[in-house]
Amino acid sequence: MLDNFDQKLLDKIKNEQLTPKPRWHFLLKDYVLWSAGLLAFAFGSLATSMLIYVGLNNNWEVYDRLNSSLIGFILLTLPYFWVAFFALLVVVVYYNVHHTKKGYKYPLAYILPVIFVSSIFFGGIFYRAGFAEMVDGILGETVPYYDRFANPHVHFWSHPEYGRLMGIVAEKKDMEMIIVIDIEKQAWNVRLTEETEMECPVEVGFPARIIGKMLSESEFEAFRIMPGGPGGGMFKRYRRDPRFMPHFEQCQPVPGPMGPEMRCME
Amino acid sequence: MHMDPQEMDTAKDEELIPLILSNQDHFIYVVKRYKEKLYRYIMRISDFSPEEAEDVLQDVFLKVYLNLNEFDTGLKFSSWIYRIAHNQVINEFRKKKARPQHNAIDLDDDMARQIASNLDIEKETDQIILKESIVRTLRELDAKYREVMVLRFLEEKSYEEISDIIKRPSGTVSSLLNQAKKEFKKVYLRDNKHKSYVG
Repeated sequence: MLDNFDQKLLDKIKNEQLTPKPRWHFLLKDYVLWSAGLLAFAFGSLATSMLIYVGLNNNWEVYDRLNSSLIGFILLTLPYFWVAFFALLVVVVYYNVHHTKKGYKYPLAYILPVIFVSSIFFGGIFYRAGFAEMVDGILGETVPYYDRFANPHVHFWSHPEYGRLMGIVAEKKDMEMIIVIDIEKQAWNVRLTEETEMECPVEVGFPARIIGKMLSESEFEAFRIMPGGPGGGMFKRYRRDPRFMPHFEQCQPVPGPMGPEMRCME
Repeated sequence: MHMDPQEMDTAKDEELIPLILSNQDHFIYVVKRYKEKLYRYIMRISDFSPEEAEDVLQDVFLKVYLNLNEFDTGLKFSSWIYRIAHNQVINEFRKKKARPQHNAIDLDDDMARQIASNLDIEKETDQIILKESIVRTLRELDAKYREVMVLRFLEEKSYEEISDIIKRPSGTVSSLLNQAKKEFKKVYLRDNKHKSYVG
């Protein structure tokens, strides 16, 4: 066997005018692989920062007031989209690392913890820098169906019949009544009492989560008012809707009895 | 850089690469060095006929030639060229959609003795019987076990080299080899049980 193999091979190379692929071809391949891996890692860290943001703003301290068990609360408020997005990016990063020149030398059991720990580290930095809040706000304000796929908080907090109301403060009638527009674009007259705990100033044009009691089809008594938190950006869309907030463009922040508030021209 | 034919014969593989890139005729030195080894390796891990194996070998050398600029000097050239052969055989398996059957495992006396002593299997007084038993057992092994056994005992590659060839972590190679040895021993003892009673 292999009679005249060498010559046949060389003849084939010459006849077909084959030449080695240029070095840049392989450098480009490496560059693309590393860039895609780093990009996936950056997005993975961003997803981690979103999980941190959502997790830290999950109102753990009030879950027992929300007619829900801890497990039920976690399952209802877990941001499945970001968990799935993070898992997908971990797979992409692992694939890229594995396909680098020396990547095969490192076992999955070594690479995965490194990806997880570094994602949490950089995700923490992103969170501290305010990226998570900013991204959640932008996505909430601009991406269609954001509440359906990315953030279960909006729907979790949109059950006035269970004492949970989320929406944007459209108007302050007086010290005892505000108008809140919910996800269904329904206006709620929300009563404030002396017992109402205010975690944040109530400002026109800003989203809020309210724990309380539904009094009628359009009335709600507030026990506790908290900032909009994750998903709150969705309600900022109403600022541009003249049906709900016709004068928001003219609103100005002014000092108020409970901190700065927005005063709008009527 | 210029070398006369005698120097080319003794030059390291890695030293040949820049010479081949400047003159394709020098590729013949790489071919001469590796054609027999790789042909044997392809035959050992596949069910290809000699003609098919030669075709695969030609494809391997063409890939080596086309991808010369990809060779990473941090790797042994022999590991790189074996890796290309390994990948090409896998590609051919996929094309044929056939499970490797092994019809041509050649084994010399030293290799047979080494395998027998390494796996602590009964020592046949007759070398021919021992060799036949080992070859038969290798044929029966699962492809993933057979390949590491072939690389370790027949191609005499180190764990590090096997890791570079099959692109798996060293730890995985080590555990794969341990499982392969156990499996080999189990199959060998099962197939040769009657001989112990006869003996």
